[in-house]
Amino acid sequence: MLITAVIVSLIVFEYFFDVPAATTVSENVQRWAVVVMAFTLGLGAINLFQIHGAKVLRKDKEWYLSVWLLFIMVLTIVFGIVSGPFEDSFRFLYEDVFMHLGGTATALQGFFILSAAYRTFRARNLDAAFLIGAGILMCFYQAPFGVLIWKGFDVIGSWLFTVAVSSAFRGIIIGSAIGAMAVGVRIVLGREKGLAGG
Amino acid sequence: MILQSGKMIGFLMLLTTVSFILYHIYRAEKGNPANIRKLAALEAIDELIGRAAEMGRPVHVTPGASAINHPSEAPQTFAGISVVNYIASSCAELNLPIIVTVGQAAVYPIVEEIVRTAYANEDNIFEPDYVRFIADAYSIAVQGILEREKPAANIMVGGFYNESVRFAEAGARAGALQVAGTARTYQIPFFVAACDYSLIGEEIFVAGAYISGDPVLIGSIAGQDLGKFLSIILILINGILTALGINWLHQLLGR
Repeated sequence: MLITAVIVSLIVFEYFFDVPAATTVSENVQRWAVVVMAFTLGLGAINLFQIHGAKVLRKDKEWYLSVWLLFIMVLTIVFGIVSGPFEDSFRFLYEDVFMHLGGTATALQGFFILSAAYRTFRARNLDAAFLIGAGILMCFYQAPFGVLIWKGFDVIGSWLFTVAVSSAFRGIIIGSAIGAMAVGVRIVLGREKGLAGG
Repeated sequence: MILQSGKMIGFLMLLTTVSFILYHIYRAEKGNPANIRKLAALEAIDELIGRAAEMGRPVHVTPGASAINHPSEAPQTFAGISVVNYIASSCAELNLPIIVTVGQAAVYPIVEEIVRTAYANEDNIFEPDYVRFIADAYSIAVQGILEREKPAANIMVGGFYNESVRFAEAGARAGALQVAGTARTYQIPFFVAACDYSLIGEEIFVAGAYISGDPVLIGSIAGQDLGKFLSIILILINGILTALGINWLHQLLGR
């Protein structure tokens, strides 16, 4: 915790005060942090081998999926080390396979939002009724045909978006910023026991 | 020492808020703890864990996918880790399996150590499977875990991106009771709409202190609220003065 307190104080000092020595030290510390985090990737990979390797050895349910995961992981690591991250073979795995799979998963978003809306939007009380009303208005505002039905949707939706929503977001951001300050103080003082365990 | 341009007010606000927090911590240490209102979402965590114990199903908790080295995201991750610590301790006490999914490599060793210590403290076995590092496939993998392993409780506190609604829906389909919270403004509405209990914005930063019940930590929450009141007063006064065409406060706050 003492190390944390010293490093945090240095970084905060460097942010507010223009002292070249502090800037140099702060930049070096941040570079070390990047190196340390790179090592944690290795730890994460070991965890994946442990968990999925154990599933394969025990022949747990759907163990063949763990075999596939380990195979792809090893393949990606080998390609990355042998040919480098900018070569076609590695880029094929990442850009042509992984990113498209990620995009597919993200494409499910719309269906999940619809499902959540169907499940949640019941006018049980006044607050819920306002929520549904605002949601319907925003749907008409965002959809291209909304303005064709009634020009008022554009006016109301625009006001809701630029005034009501923005002010609420800014209030949340200010509160969150102060909350983050409090977390920082607790960590520096060694009071945030959650991070040290126990 | 030269204060950088445009950061004077920020520095003064930081000093003032930190002073408020330290003052309330001091008061709590002297036996004058602060009273804060109840947060339903945090009160419900114990209920969720008890439900999982009765049903014999695991508890899923995740501190989010945010990086630990990003200035605006790291505090959310730390808040999530504090919640993971409390839930791990509670699950260890009941010898209940826990599933902690981690999306960032740097967070994994911290969380793994916390959960391992929690189970060791109760002389219960820690399975490596309890903490799962999932790299870039975090969002789809957590959905899969929720659908396959059907936890009875799903607690998500931290920084989340667009996966928030997918997690909330997958948890609901699995029959889990859910507590979720984030300070990422665009994801808050999804959690509020789709989860049973939600924490909005700054409430996630008090989670660790609140659920610990430590009066000294709760004092820091009161100090944080004083900093917020100061901000509100400055915004109101500045707004009124600016509307009247008096701009000196606006210019001062920009220094």
